[in-house]
Amino acid sequence: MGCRYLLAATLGVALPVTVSVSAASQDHPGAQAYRQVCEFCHGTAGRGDIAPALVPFGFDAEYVLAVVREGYGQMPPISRRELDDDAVRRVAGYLEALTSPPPETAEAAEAGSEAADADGAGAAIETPRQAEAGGETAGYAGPRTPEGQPDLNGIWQSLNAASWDIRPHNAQDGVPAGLGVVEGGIIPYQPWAAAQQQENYANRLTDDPVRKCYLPGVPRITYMPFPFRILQTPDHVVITYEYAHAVRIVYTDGSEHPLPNDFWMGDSRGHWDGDALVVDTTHFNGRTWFDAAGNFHSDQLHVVERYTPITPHHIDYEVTIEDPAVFTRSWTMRMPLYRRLEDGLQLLDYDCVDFILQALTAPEGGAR
Amino acid sequence: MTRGGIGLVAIAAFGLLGSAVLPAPAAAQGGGPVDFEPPRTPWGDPDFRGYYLPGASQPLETRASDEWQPEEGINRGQGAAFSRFFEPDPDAPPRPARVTRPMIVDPPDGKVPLQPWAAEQRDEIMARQDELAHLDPRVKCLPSALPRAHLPVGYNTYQILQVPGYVIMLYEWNHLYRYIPLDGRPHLPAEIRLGMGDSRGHWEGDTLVVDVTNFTVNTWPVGHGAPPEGAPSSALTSGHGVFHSGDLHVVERFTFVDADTIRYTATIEDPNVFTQPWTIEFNALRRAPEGHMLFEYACHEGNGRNIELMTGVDVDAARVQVR
Repeated sequence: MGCRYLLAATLGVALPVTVSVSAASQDHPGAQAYRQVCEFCHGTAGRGDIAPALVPFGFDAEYVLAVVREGYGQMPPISRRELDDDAVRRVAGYLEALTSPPPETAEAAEAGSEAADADGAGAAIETPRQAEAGGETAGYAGPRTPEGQPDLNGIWQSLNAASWDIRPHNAQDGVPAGLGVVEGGIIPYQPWAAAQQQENYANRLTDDPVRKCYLPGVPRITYMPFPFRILQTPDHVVITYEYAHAVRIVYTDGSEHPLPNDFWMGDSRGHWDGDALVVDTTHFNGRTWFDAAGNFHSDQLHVVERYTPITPHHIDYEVTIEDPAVFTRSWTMRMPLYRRLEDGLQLLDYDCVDFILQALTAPEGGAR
Repeated sequence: MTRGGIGLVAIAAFGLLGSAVLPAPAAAQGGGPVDFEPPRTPWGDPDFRGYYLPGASQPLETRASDEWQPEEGINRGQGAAFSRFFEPDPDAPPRPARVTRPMIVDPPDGKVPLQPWAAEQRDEIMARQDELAHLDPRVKCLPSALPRAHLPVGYNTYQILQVPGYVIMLYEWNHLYRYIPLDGRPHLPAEIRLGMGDSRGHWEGDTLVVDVTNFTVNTWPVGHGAPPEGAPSSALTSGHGVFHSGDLHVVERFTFVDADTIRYTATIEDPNVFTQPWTIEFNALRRAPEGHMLFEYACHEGNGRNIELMTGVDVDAARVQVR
């Protein structure tokens, strides 16, 4: 077939790829589907062409399936009519066989592919730390956009208890315990602010702005227990959130923050620092909290987020908080973000406005 | 960056007519083939990317209380230079008059084809706009639903983004958005409901066709501007009070008619509420001036006074536990 998504741009991908294509791997049951659907863009034997190389990375089969169905960066989703699930898994097995060439018999190649299917997760991308230990490669080795940035397109979510309290805390009714995400464990409040935080905590069930369905602010929306979707273009990164259909538009075109205006979600301007997307957000209205435990800030909040991909499906998320009206110094939160890989996943609705209106008009009276 | 152009919305009118004669509403906006060849994305799709302002004001429907008659002498713009909205050109031909034909092109009488019980229900809804249960959902900051999100309001703008396999639409009003996959995947399970519905798109030539289902039932499918206070629903031309069931099915078509103008056609189907599918067609999106951007529209956050009037509860007050 022709490549209906032919890219005009040349991919800025320079990965060390040395693959010897064995005759056995070309007989692999996934080789034919690869040649029909994938080869035009990803090149012979996954070596890369106008789309990135696919070997020698050892993507696991379920990940390949998710990417094929969901699309990835410049790659469009491919329907089941074109390539059914089993065929995708065979292609994944073929890529695996190319990555770890088995002994040169067709029988062994098939066995290798079955093993890869059965234990796909074992074929992991190296993390930077592993790479340092192994001494082979360093940094992010996953897919990239035509501009050469790491490709963060997709649906992501945090997986921790920071939404309830960013500090170390024990469980309460409906609240999972957490080790906290504040580096060093201490939020350096000024004395008045420490007292204010305690008052906020005591009144959290009435005063938390999120309980009124107000926009949660940044970075809180990142670690609420809802997925969000990153859409990456050359001059924007748009982040759409399932929670309250919130949207952040991060301009990466070198533009400055606008004239003074206040926003619940702030004004975000981004740039790439190596493989990290750095987002600088200011112009907050000071009415949001960091969590459901009353940790707070003023309208002088300045947030710098670093989204550093460490594998195709993990981001190291680091947030530096600055607010001279509330804290004695800047401080940092850190957590991983995880790519959601479910087949056919899309953001759904959490439209809390409707829940609030229902509560306020409930016969028993939702407001207390 | 400038907010740009919004002040001109009120005086901007549509250059949508190639003829002074209106043989039929469907032809008035050139419902047939379009000559314009849109630009292409690097991957070959028609390129809809950019910022857009809403279309000029236009009645949605004919008053139910009288027959719609095309007025003499209107719509004689002869396709005035549409691209001059933002920097008026003294040499440009006169702008067309405000469009007074309804958006509804089918049925030909320009009326929303409500079933009799639904027309009564609409009267009830509009008579009780002082009650939260009946209040216009958009005044409550609920999602606009479709096609309402594309009906003109003065303070909405749009951004369309594209990547291979997707068209993404951002709406400034109430920070709504939708991802439109183009790969032919099926709709979500019927149990799943979304305020903006579940969109699935495909290309028919240079037209983006979007099939939308799985709507919630707490929205109105149409309604734009503000209805005159106290007007009975039979006198409205804005679509307010028209409601839908969970079976609402909307098919939208987006087509460039020139470099700056996207014609929007939506067929609205709901066998529980309407006697037949009905279709609106108008130029819904016009390219925003250079430097335009979307701003945060925090709707519910600024709606405390409305909610207090409706419920007696001051949500902004510190000691109110709402749930």
